[in-house]
Amino acid sequence: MNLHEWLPLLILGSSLLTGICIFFLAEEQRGLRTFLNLAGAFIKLALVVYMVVGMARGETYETRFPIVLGFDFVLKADSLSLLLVGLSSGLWLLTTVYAIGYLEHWKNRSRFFGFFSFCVTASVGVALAGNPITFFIFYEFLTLSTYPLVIHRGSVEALRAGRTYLWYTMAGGALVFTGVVWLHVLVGSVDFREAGVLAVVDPSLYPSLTLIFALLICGLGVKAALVPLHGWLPVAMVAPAPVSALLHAVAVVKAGAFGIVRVVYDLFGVQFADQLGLLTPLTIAASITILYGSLRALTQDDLKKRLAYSTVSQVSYIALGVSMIGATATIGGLVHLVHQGIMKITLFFCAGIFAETVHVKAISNMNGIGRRFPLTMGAFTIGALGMIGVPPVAGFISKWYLGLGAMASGQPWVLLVLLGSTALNAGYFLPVLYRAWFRDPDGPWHEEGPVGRLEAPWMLLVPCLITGLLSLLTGVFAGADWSPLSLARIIAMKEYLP
Amino acid sequence: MSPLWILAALLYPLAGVIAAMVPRTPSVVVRFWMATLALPALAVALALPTGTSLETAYLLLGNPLAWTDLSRLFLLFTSILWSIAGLYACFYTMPDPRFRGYAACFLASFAGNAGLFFSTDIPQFYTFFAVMTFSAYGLVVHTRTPEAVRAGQLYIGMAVLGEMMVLSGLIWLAYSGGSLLLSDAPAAVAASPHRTWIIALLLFGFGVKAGLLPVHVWLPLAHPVAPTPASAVLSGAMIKAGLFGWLVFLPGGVGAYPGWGSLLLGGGLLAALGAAFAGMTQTHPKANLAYSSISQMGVLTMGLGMGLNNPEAWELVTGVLAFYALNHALAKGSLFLAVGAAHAASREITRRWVLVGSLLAALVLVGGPWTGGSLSKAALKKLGSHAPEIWSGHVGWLLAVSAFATTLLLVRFLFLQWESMKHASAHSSSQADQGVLWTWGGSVLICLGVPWLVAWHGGIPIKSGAMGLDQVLKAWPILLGAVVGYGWLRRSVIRPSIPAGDLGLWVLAGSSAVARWWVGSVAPRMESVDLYSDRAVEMLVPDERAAPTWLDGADRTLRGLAWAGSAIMTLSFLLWWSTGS
Repeated sequence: MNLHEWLPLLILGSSLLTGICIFFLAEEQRGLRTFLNLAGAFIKLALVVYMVVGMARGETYETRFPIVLGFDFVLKADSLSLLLVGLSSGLWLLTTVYAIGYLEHWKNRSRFFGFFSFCVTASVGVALAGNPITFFIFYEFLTLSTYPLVIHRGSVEALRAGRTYLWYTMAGGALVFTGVVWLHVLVGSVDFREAGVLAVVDPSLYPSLTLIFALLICGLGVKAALVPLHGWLPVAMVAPAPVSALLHAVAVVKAGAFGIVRVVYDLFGVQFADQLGLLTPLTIAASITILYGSLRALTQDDLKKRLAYSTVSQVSYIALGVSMIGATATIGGLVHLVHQGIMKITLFFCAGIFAETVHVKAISNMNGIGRRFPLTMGAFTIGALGMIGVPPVAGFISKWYLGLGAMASGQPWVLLVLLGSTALNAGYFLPVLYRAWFRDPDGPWHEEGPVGRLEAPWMLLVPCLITGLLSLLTGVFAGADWSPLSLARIIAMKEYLP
Repeated sequence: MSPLWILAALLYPLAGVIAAMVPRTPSVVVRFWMATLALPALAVALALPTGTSLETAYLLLGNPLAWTDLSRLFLLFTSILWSIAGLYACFYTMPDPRFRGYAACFLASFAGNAGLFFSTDIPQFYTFFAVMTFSAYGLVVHTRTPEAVRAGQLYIGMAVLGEMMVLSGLIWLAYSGGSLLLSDAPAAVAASPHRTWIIALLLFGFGVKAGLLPVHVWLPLAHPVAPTPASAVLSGAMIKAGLFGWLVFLPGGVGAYPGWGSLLLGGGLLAALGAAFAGMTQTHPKANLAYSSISQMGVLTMGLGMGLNNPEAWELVTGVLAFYALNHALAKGSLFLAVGAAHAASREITRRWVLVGSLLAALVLVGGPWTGGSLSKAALKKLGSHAPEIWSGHVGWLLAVSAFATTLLLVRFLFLQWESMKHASAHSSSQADQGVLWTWGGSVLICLGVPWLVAWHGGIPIKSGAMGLDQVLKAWPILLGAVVGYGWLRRSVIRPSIPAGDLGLWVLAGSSAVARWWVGSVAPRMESVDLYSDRAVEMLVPDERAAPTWLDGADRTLRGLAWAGSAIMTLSFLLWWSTGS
């Protein structure tokens, strides 16, 4: 065993161990807990950077050992996993800082941060998983580690939301499990590989494969919040803001969307899935989700709920891009995996700041909030414009590639879906911006504490500004070599030119 | 001159946006920035050779920033007008406590406006266009009055509609042509099997900005409510961005499109005359000018129609249209600024000067003798031979009718100007008022002089005799219009009148009805659909306490039969063991 075999495991371990250690801390050991949290986050980020640099030099990193019943446990770094690993570990660091600031006065912080670390472990595991069974293990681990976070408040509403969440995701997990086992029975042990591994099977298995595909997509669709499997997401927004931020940006919904990407590209292969006629239903499901989520978002007055429905809509851009054949659409879907993450986390960070510092949760109470929180609202504006797809924010890049991909795949009606979504996004984000910037405040703000030199505690403000700025920069400098767009291009090339 | 100046021209106003938003920046710095926002761009327009390109592989999708002769002319008048308006705004916003917000939106809009002319690929172009459009919203609603908010709604709604049409047209075009470069765009449109759709989308998409009928509706509502320098750039410069979009993307030079040509000539004529009539009946001077812009853009649309009809004439047409746009931009800018000057003028003598200045700018706009307007009108008239056959004999007199109508409209404007000054109470002249007046005076001189300078530098061929006395006779439609207008339009209310915003009022009413219906009837039903999913979970797991009792019962029964279980297990084991051995 050398570093090449250990590195993926170390990356997981950096947050898993952090989580375990934190569970053993007493509630008042605040300094140590903070240190552990940040140390874990930094170590993970450093390891990921090391891995990225190594991969750029052509190194490969893979951990593999057998577990039960002929299943292998495989962690492997490829370009696709880099997208999610990079996103998770980067945003985890920021969210950790934010959460430390946010939960200042809350109870059970050790429990919270323990599960918080587990949650990131799971999401990185999902990203690095090299075969379906490993993927499933982390997928379920993610469900279990996020449940305590969702119900952290402990209120009746939170418990109800938690129950809904658990039922949805457990049912989804069961579907995925059935699909994975069935697949194992049919074709034995398979690893994820670029351009898919199933195209070579006997044609007599095609009907079974179709069913397996349906099972997997339905199971993954629960977390990816495909309509009508999305019911848990708007309910789960009772979770504390950092959890919502993580849930909506990198952890749960991304795990679902990422799973769909894996299944389509690295299990079935996009050409083969198309040959089986599996892609069009997915395109339709994604399109319906995109429009439905936006339509529902229009009338929500609770800011977090509006954002939640927006997530329902936006995450399906990923599935949409994946379900259309052609490199351009692929680039659009994959790059949105990252773009949606940074934009949405920004919006939730902002919502958290408003709720924590001045108790503003409803959009109707946001009149003139831009004057009280110019920087936060600036970040929010960037995120919201990005969601609409206004250039030069990152969301435009996604939308451009998706639109072009829709044309290239011979499905111009998808362009109409994208345009409709643009209009609806404008319809529910622009009024928020209008209220915040162009209306006068209704009265003095209900300040939580004394207002310092900064508009909000720095631990809340700084992560929010960083992600807001990133949303802008990844769009403006999309042409740079290190941009998510460049990475998505590389992945798409591998998928289409094996 | 280094190509980095291109970056400087764009980054200078953008840096100003940030400076304006930082509360600690001294006001004087923000004002200075606003007054000088377009100077680097102006320097570029004057000194940087066209064709210069700046490699920006890291920006957006990686194409360079560069520029052409056409964009040079556009950048020239855009930066001149923004410079004047910036200086003007610097004084105009002096009493305004919210001027930082104004400055931020103003600077950002300019960056978008100027960036258009350096774009070499479609995403860049769309980016700058969007930056301009969305930032300008802040200018429209700046005063926060109910009228401004309503105008802002229509503005942003139409803008989003326009952006959607532009985006879909551009995506379609990029897909058909397989290239993102602007230089390949017209050929790609021409070669596309879906040409008609692409042309329609781009025409109406950019038409929202350019005030094309019937997507012009936001102009007459937005211009009166925006602060005066903002109206000037909206109506003078940003409206031309729509024209620039047409000239860059439409396939005029690649093929002949007599159908589109006729349609644009007809639509343009309708706009030129209809908007002029609507403008005559306005009671607000800025609404009157907004209709004048729609009318003038109608004339430009007619020119565009001639270009689309005849590919050989395209290059000539784009040149003439650009010059016409320059003339209109400077004159219209000056006229809008005159509205503010009228408010600033406190003494009787100043008021008279304001009226004279307004008259001069109006003459430039309408094409009075010895003005740049007459040059551009004459050049446009000569293009008539390139119009589709049924039109070609009529362009000349139709333009004369349009000049007549425009004159009526401007007579009305002068009357409204005079009215507003007459009723204004005398007030002491502040430093801000002085600044406004002097800046505006400069703008009048500029709109008189700059078109000639540009024409002499080869912007447009000048016929001999353009300075001759007979020019006065050639301007008979204007003389006639002045006489008729003086007789007819002196009353304060003209009947029948068209409310400012015309069709836009229906659009607003219709969309708010749809919104009410959605919030009242549709949304609650959708809400209940989502509740079902919650209830489904409830039904599956009613509650921990109410776990299914029959399972409990089954369990109890099994417990009671413990001995039976053991017996079965033992028996099975024995059976297995015996068969195995």
